[in-house]
Amino acid sequence: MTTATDDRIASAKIALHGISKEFVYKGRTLPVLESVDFYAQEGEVVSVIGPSGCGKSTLLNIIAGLEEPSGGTLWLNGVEARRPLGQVGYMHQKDLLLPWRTVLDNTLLGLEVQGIAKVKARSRALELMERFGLKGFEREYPYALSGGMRQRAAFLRAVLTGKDVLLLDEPFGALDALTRAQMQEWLLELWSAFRKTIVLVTHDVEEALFLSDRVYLFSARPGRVRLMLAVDLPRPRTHLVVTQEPFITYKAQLLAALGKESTGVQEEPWR
Amino acid sequence: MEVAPEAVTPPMEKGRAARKDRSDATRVQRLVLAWARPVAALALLLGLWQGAVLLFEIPAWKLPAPYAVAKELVASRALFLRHAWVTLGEALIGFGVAFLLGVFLATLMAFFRGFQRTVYPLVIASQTIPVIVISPLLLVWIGYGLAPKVVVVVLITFFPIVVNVMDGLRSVDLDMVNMMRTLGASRWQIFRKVQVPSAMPFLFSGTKVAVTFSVIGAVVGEWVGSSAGLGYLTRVSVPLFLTVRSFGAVFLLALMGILLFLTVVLLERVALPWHYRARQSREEEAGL
Ligand SMILES: Nc1ncnc2c1ncn2[C@@H]1O[C@H](COP(=O)(O)OP(=O)(O)OP(=O)(O)O)[C@@H](O)[C@H]1O
Ligand SMILES: [Mg+2]
Repeated sequence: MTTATDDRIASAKIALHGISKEFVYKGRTLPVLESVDFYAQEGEVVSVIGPSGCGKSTLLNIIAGLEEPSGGTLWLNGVEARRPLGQVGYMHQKDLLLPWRTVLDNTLLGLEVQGIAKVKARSRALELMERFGLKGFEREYPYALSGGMRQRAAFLRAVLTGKDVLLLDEPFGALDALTRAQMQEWLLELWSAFRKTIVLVTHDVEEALFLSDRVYLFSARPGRVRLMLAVDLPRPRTHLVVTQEPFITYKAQLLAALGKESTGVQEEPWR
Repeated sequence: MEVAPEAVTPPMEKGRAARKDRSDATRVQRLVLAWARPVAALALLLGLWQGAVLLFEIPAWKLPAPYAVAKELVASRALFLRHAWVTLGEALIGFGVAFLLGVFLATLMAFFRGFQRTVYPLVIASQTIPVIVISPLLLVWIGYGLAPKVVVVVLITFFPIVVNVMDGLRSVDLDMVNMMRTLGASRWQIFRKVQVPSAMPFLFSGTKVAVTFSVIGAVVGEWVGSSAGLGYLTRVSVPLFLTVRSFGAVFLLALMGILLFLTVVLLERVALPWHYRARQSREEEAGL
């Protein structure tokens, strides 16, 4: 390993080196990730895009400590991490709100697990309800919320863990285009308020470019990093950038690379 | 956590919450409708019965008319009450024991696979033994008093509780468990905050069945050997040609079962508002 890599790992919030993952099922092996190098600096927004099933959620699961990689090394805050459960805020692809808890109690879950006093936790959560568009719904059960509100509640739960790394797995996947665009701008405003390190998984090239400092494009399964693109657009951004020049070139670049991936039909994925 | 001054408020969408303001009037109407039909059906049935008895002049010791049964219930209310009290006691004590035992066993089985493999077959086997066959034996082993009745009730009622609670604890959404793990939750925290709540609707389902069976269990226990209880009353009244009293006792047993069942339904609504209301809203959406 070169010194340059060492430096990057030491200074990065998250660093993965040569990470691979395969699932073994009924004696057969499914390679999902293959020698993935990945990092995110403090305060960066980094997106991961790639075809469905290429291992994006698996990548987040490895960073969150839910899955153990089959090979390679993971560092968090410059320290090698094995199964680092409880160290990052993770918003899963599904909202996973507990149906027996009110919205407020759902968002408190992380603080509760950490053993933070209820009163203190509550006031912290209530402070943020308005910002997350949940004001007036604190005492509702999840079934009474719309899809977007449920996702924001799940998002708030991740934010309230107080971790400075947030993993977001298709946070706006279930929303219509208009709401989605509004939510993206809202996420950027939140980011400028909290400056967390964000790893965002998405299917949407525009969303990745609009939100991120860098975009990783993964190949079809087994997922490999095909392209790493630094997005040099000034912040704060509004949706106007989408129609302007550097954005369009970036987009064409990503779409071309992604197109190549999707046409490469995978026969016999198991081996 | 520092909060920037300008409030960043995301766009609002209309949630299901917006539809919550269903007026109370329609709710009362629906409640009345829900009860009106079964009550009318029952009244019709009783009317036919009463009519048949009068028309064919059936003697009361063969088949008493509903009105005669009602009269007997009022006339001998002290007697009925005394015996009902005994049966209710047996049913509730037995159910209580079965509840504690069932929840305890189910929890252990959900936690320890080895324990489950050992004990679950025995639990199932216990249900294949016809209770009516072993209740005379119980009489021989533990005598004539309250104990054998309680044992019969426990044998009948603990099965639905064990099966439901175990299914409930194991049917937990594994993604929710993983979500808890990423929050840094311990095994115990996951059990308390996810597994137990998600098993609660199952616990209530098992309890609804068990509490209804508990009355039957008490009667079976009394049938074999007893000196009190509604089962006893039914048994001794028929040979005395007091069929009307026997019918009165049966009526009270049915009423007891129904009331116990409704109590559990009510408790469920109070204890699990999230479950009841979510189901209601889903059913409405699906047009059920
Ligand atoms: N626990 C597991 N056991 C076996 N196979 C798994 C497991 N988890 C994921 N996989 C497989 O790994 C592959 C990658 O899954 P993953 O969820 O990471 O994909 P993804 O890129 O997030 O897809 P999508 O965009 O559809 O969410 C899939 O083919 C999936 O079936
Ligand atoms: Mg995924």
